[in-house]
Amino acid sequence: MRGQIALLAVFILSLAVLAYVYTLTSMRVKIVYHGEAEWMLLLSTARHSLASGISLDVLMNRLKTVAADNSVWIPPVWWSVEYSSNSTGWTYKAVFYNDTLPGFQATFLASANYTLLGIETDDLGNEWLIYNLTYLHRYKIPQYSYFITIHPAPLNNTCARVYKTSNGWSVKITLNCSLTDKWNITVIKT
Amino acid sequence: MRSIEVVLIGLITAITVACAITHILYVPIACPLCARNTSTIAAWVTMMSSNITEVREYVLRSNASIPPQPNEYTAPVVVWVNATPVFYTVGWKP
Repeated sequence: MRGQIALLAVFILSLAVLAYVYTLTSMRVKIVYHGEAEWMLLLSTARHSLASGISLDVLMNRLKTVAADNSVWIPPVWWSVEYSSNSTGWTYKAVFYNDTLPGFQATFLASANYTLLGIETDDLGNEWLIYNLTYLHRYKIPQYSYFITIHPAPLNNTCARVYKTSNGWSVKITLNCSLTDKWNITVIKT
Repeated sequence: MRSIEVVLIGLITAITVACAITHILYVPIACPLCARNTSTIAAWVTMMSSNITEVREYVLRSNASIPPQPNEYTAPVVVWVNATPVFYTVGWKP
């Protein structure tokens, strides 16, 4: 009888330990998830830096100041920015690194690749540059194991004619026109 | 059965039940658990919006689609106006 009771006690104790460990694991996951909106604030700040031409350092200082005034928590981070361009496109990449958690980082990447297909002149004598364009945004925050990709990213249709294709855009742009996206990032400048 | 055994089994059972209830209800950590939906929505709003009007539309839509939650929770979204960040809040009240 005593042996059975002891066995039952060990079994129940094992369940208790399992439940406790599982709860701890769940807590860890949930703590990691907490704050994803705040991390996304950083990525939208990097996006605005690219759109406005204002340095990310300046914008981050502004973000921290106004966030403190609004009691909004901003993750403790440092950051790096890479920008490269050539005749057929450009790439912007901002990475935010957590001060205290190595490997805990967020990335915003915007990339445009375009090919000039030709020049067209309409009945009014206006010249249009015709491009094949691939344009995407990519967002990654530490809470997600995946990238969120917007491809093709939405474009403004002001002085350009934009046609969606299966893998990107075909655009016609007049001279002295800048093709911009929804967030006012200059995609192509003629 | 001796009283010490009864106490022991009772204690272990109580711990197990307490762990199970804590696990099922997430008693000490209910708010972060519940926060995830709103936080995710706020992250998407921040990512996709380009102006204040859009944020307001997202907020209205997200408020309508969030199921009732036991805890009040809010999450920030931001819109940049030139060099000034403007914060908005996505959230709910029970």
